[in-house]
Amino acid sequence: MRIKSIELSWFRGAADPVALEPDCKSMVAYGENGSGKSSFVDAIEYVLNEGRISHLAHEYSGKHQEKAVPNTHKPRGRKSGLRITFKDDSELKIEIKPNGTSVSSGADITAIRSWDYRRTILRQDEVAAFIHNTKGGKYSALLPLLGLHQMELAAENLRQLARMVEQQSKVRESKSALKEVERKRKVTFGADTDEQILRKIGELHSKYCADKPETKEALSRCDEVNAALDSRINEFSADQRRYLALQSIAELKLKQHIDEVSIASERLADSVEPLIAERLQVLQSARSFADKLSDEGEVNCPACGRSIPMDLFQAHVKAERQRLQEIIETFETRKAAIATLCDTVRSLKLNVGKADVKTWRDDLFKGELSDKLDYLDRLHTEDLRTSCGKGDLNDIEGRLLPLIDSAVARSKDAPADVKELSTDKQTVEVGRNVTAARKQVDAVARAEVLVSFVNALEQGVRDEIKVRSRNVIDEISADIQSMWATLHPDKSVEDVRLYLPEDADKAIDIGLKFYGVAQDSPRLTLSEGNRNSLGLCIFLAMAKREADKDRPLFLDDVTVSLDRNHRGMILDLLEKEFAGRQVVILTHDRDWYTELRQQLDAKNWIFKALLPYETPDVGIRWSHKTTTFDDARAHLKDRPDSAGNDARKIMDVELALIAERLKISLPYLRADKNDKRMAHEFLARLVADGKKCLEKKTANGYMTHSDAIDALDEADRLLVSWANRASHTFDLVPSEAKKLIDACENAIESLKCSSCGKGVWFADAAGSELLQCQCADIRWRYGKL
Amino acid sequence: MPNNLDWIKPLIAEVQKHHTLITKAASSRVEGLLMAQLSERQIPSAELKLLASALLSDMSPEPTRGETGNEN
Repeated sequence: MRIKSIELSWFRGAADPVALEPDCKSMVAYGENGSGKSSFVDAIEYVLNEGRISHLAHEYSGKHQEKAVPNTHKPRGRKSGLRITFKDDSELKIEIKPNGTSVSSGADITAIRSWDYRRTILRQDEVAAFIHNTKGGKYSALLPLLGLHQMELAAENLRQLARMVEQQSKVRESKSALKEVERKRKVTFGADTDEQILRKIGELHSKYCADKPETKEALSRCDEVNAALDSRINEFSADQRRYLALQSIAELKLKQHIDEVSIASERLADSVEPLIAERLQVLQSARSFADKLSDEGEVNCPACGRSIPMDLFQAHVKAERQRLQEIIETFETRKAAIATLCDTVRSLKLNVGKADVKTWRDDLFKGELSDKLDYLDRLHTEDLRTSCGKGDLNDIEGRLLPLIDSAVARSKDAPADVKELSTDKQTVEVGRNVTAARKQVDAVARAEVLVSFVNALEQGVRDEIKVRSRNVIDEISADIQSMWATLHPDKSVEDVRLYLPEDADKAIDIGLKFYGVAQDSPRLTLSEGNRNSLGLCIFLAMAKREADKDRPLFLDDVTVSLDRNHRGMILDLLEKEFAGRQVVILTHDRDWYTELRQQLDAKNWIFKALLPYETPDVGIRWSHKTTTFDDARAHLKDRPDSAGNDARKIMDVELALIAERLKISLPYLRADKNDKRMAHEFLARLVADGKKCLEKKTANGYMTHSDAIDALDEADRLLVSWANRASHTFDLVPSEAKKLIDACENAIESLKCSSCGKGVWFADAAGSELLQCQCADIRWRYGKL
Repeated sequence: MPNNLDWIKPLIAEVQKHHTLITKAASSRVEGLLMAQLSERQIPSAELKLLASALLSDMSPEPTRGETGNEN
């Protein structure tokens, strides 16, 4: 949707309503620094970015940028706002309230908000932003053009889904429990296979449940044996039961479990202590990270704080993540070891509290171990789960192991049948756990397979994204190359292209060949000017791919660092690639503006010049003329010498371009002096040749255009005398400067037709013999030379 | 191209070949999710939690031939 006009009221530099009116055409707007041209670009950004203007995003501008968006001198009662009129005459009006929020009305704001800022506006300080951005940032900028948003969403959702399956299925916890079952199995059954374990359970079933039919289901068989053993125990004498309970205490592997927690804690401490030190560094380095990213060379890693080369950054982050993963596993191992220790302590409490061991316990209370029993009574196993430090482990070892040692000593002389029954009970309990764990193993395996399945799908989607991205990126690269070749035909830099780095997802970088040598980044070799030139090509190549070809482009002072040669070639580029697109160029470069005005087709382009800014109350103002002599007039009052000098500078450029269009030949000068000719040289030649070639239609046919010759002559006369005074003796008075400026402007205007408004160079006629304005009222006839 | 996600079906079939324990129910659910939801918006974690539970229950407690999607 093309733009007809952008009207500002007390918005940024504007005071009373002022409009940029491209009238759906392309436009070049000139204004010296601070004249307010960027306020119009700010207005577009304000709409696109929902009331935010990025270069105003700082601590002083207010929550809603209310201190920066409205004109600082807005009178009370006046409203700040903007109005954009589109090709179909629909209007979008935005009124900004005192608190910075805004209300819109009229045209559908969502339509214009669908324009991506990064492919609509390019400002001077953003020209090389894409090049300096991170690989991820480049990818984000390109993502909307890749058309892969849905696939990116799918990949990210799959990643999160895999994580959620892992959490929901409690894979980690289950694996830890299974590890414990496995440990007990080894202790009880050694290297026995599942079948051998089942056979042993079967033998116990025959031994204790001979009266019952054999159950096929293994778990039921274990339960039956357990019930039979419990029934036998119930029939035991008090002595037998005491021995049995003591045996249970004696068999607790408390020392082993304490050691396991200690080892896991030590491992964790080894990993965590340096980690903590590094995390502290992260806080310090995070602040400088963003700044350093834009510099070449090294960057401080935000994960660990170390300074590392940029190209190693990705690999480094990967390694850091792996390291963190290993620490998480150590955490899990320690957690599982503590859980086992807690279970063991709880078993100890349970068994020590049994009535069967009352006499043993009473003996302990009378002896040296009474304080140990007190400690056991007071110990809360659940507290240990949340906090189990070295002190706790020392206490457990020092106070509880003697209890177990006592139980071991007292159960040594247990009757054989008790020992046998105790061993059988342990066998059947561990056997049951092993059998039950089979199901858990299956569940863990299924969950792991599911996670792996979802991960594989995510990878599949990411691979597909890469393939598709590569195709689109190749197409954009072809455009960049073609644009670069237009701006830089010398071929010192070739094969400029975007590419997807092999080692990273969601990343894009720029490669090129510099004098035939492949380079991974333009930042390695390109000058600032060339980087900006490349940034412009990339912006234009991306903008070219927009599905909506009717969206305008705003180029705000983007040629600042380009030399005259390359700046001139941008014209070729715009005419070649964006002939059918609305382009709004804003520039403070008077020479370039003059060049554009002379060379771009006025059918498609509008040229306007802003007056120099006076005060915020006066605001942004347009000159009534397309030339830039008003810049010179702005200095008349205070600096007449500057005004005179400006007039001469304007004439130097205007006349050089006119001479080029009229193919006026000047004597060849040595070296670059040809590019530094002054207005006087052109005027002298124009006057001399004009007397023969410049004609105006009259009732009696074409006659020498003497008014124009006089105007050129007058300008030359004043330039030689007064302009030299302005630059050498600095004694030009305002009235003289005004006369000089008027004479210069008059001379330039004299070469334009008063009827059709076009210059005498507008059209070739009669082959190469003649140039003339559009209506042929004035002409330049070479044949007369 | 961007809106047509039919290519995901063969991808699922291909991935499934290497994950023989994946049931048809689970694979159909993932396919349905991809076509209907996972590619349309960022799924909130509460919804993802439900999806994960549903997927886990789709996985047969005791996989059998024919149900696993792998006849071998």
